[in-house]
Amino acid sequence: MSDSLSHRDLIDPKVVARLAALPLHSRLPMLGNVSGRHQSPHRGSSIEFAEYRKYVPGDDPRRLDWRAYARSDRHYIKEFEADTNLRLHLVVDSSASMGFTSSLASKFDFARKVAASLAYLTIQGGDAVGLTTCSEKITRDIPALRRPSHLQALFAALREARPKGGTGLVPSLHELAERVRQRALVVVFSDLFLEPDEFKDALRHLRFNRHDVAVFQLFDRQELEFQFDRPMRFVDMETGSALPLEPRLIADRYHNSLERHVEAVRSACLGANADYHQVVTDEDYGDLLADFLMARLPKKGRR
Amino acid sequence: MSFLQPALLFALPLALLPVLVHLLNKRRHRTIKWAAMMFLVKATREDRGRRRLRHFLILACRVLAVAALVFLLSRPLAGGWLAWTGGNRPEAIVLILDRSPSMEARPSTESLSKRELAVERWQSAISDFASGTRLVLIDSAIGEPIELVGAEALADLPQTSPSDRAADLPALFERALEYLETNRPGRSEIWIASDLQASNWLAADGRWGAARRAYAELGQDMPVRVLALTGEPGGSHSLRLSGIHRDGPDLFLDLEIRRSADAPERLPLELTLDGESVTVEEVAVGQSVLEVRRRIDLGEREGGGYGRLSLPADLTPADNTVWFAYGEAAPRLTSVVSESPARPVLELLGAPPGLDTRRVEVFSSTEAHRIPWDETHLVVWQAPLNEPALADALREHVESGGSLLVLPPDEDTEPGALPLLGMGWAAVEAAPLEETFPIASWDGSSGVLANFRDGRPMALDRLQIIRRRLVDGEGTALARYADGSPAVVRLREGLGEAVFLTSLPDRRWSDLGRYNDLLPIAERLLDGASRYRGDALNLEARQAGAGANSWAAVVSDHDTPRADLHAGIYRDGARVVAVNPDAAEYDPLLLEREETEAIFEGMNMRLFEERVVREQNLATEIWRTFALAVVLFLLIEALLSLPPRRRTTTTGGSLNPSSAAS
Repeated sequence: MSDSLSHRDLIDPKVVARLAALPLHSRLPMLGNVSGRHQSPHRGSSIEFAEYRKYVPGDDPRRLDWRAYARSDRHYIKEFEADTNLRLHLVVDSSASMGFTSSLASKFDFARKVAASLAYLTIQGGDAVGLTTCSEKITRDIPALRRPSHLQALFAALREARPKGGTGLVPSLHELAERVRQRALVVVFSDLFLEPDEFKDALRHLRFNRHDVAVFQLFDRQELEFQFDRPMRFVDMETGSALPLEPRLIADRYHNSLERHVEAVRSACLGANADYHQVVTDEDYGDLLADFLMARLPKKGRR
Repeated sequence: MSFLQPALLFALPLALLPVLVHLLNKRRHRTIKWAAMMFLVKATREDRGRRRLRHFLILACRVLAVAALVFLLSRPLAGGWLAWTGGNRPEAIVLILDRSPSMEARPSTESLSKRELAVERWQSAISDFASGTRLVLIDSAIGEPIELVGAEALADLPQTSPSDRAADLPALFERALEYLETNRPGRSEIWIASDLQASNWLAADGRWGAARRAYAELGQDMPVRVLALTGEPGGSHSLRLSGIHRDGPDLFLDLEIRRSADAPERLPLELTLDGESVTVEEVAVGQSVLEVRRRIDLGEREGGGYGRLSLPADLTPADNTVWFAYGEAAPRLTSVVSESPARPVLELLGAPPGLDTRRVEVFSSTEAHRIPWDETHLVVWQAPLNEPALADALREHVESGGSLLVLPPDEDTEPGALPLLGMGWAAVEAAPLEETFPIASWDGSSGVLANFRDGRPMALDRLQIIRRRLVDGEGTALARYADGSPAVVRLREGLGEAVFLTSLPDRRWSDLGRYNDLLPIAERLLDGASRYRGDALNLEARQAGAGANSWAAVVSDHDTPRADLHAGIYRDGARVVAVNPDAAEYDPLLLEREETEAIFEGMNMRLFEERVVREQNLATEIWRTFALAVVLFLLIEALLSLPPRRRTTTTGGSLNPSSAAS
């Protein structure tokens, strides 16, 4: 299926058409290199008032607020918010476990469709998009660019990616945190079958470097329900080790373990001030994106 | 352990079927590539040990259930006896077999008798647990230990065949201890098989005390295992001949008929005379015991003959028939030896006026050697004994079944007088003036002083005794004076008995002659002797004696009859002898468990009660044990295999996919 993927398979036109009106916002100020519609940490020339500050020699006298000088006989500079563009960095886990499926589409297929749609919408909004795929280590890293033609490179990278190898998301995120110097919105797609504490450290690393982070944890429906009607021999997709079991006998303990893990991951995300989304691959990804984008719209009265 | 269907035991490897299924099942696991392996590993790591244990238990339960099922279908018969014989193999086992007639009882027409069942149980136990052990058998009829080559031949030995002699368990146990004491075979055991009939065990017998002491002296904690076959078949009855008497052409038989509560009240009684069936008469037995006298008209039959009376066969076959022999009606002869003034009274005792069935001959002490010993039923001896030959003749007379009534010599015994049957006389005692020696107590239950048929006691307490001569020697006191000294003493020697009185029917001594108290005593002694006199004898098996071995069998229910063991009609020269089972066998009373335990107090005794009437149930009970085991194992397996409670919400709580946090 992946071999014959085209960008039409990665993007559903109806979905992107429906979501075109919803811009992607970062919850943190961005440091873009061009003017955009996202908040910048610097003062700029937008019409949005930011603050007054005392005049210091060297300031442009044209920016003096003469009305304030008339009222207070002091020189104040009136500052306005600066607007800049967004850098979106997509991180897709391409370890072998992401290839699991109990239906037609694997977790990896689902992840790259969401990532592709998000990339398309973002570039259409004039923002920059980068992509990193990783298994045991980073397998592909595309820096964020805002050219529409950059989409082709992104789509090609997503089409060519294969789920294989072990999970190396945590070191990849650490590496990414160091490599992406400008502030960005980092969106992670993974099943997160890793140690929650280590993942938490990676998230904190990203946050320390002023990145906004959103995490999508993907599950197959069978992974959540764990319903089998006969003895099974489970073969690890990453290591190949086998475990013959009577699923009915361990279902309870499996569910307990899964619940504890999900709760730990969720806590790690919340502790690092990152968005957390638990996703089942049989969901409609258009709705998922709509919810995601709506949730990130700036609240009324603030930017 | 023995099985009714041992061939089915070959199916025992089927017990491994669950293991095979388990192994095959393991190969039938469907393979799936799985991503969320970390949760499976955690889930299985948490209680891997407990899970493995549970799987092992499930498998073990399945294997045991199949094994128990195979055993169940093989119908194991070993149960209590098997469990009972557990322990180390002894070096010698002394088997004491009660083969008295009561051991021939069987619970149903198809089943084994108690004796056969005991032998079978022994064979099974010996072959299973004591193979190669030295075996010694002491049977109740012969009482001599014989060494066995193996347990296989046990059922075919004449020593384990039926007999009509009562068992004397104290004697048999003493015999077993003697054997062990003499031969010292090492670690030994005594196995007893009996129906615990009280009249055979004689719980109050002093020999048990001696046996306990002998057991203790053996110095080893020797197990005594008692197989008690105490079940009683229902609907049984018995017939016993308690007396026989001929009067001209009429033969009178005193019969005792017993029946159990569930037996019919009306029983047909069949009479056979000289081998030909004569009459069948119906007898109504309203109560549990009926004593009845039957008259048989011998008609024109001349000389002696024999016959049998029988009740219908029941499940206790040994007590349904009585044999009897009759001869010409000869007068009963009493020989009186006396020279004192009491002589006329004693003469009257032997031949009361009007009774032509009695005859008396009187001798002085010097003529005593002329007594016709073979014909004499009763010797009345009231004279000093000075001749050893006479003492021997009197002893032989008693041992051969004759009766002896001894009264004290009139005067003090002269020096040199011989004891009679080991008994001597004390000096003559005279009661103080105007006083007597009153008789305070006597045994009215049996013996020569027994109450009359209508229940009236003898009137010994009315006697006025002013002189007496007490007896010196060992005997049984049948009556005692108020001062405790014996007034009437009985001594049994061989087949007959001797009764010693301590006063005379002389007015200088007592008024014994006045009330004719002596008459019933003499009559009873004559009755006792009449069994062994004349041309026809009626004996119990134990009375036949060693000489009976040579008697020729005429009729018997046994295959190889022996007069000293088996009931039937025998011929001793010209004399016809009827042998019946011992009277003790007709007493249905059994020992209670506590009584049995009291007998073996201080010994390592283990009692196994096997109710013969439920023999079939014995197998069933073991069946049930295995059936119960099957159910139990399957139940445990089912409980262990129950799947854990299914989760109703597999994606609830923190697994809600729509949950999002920011």
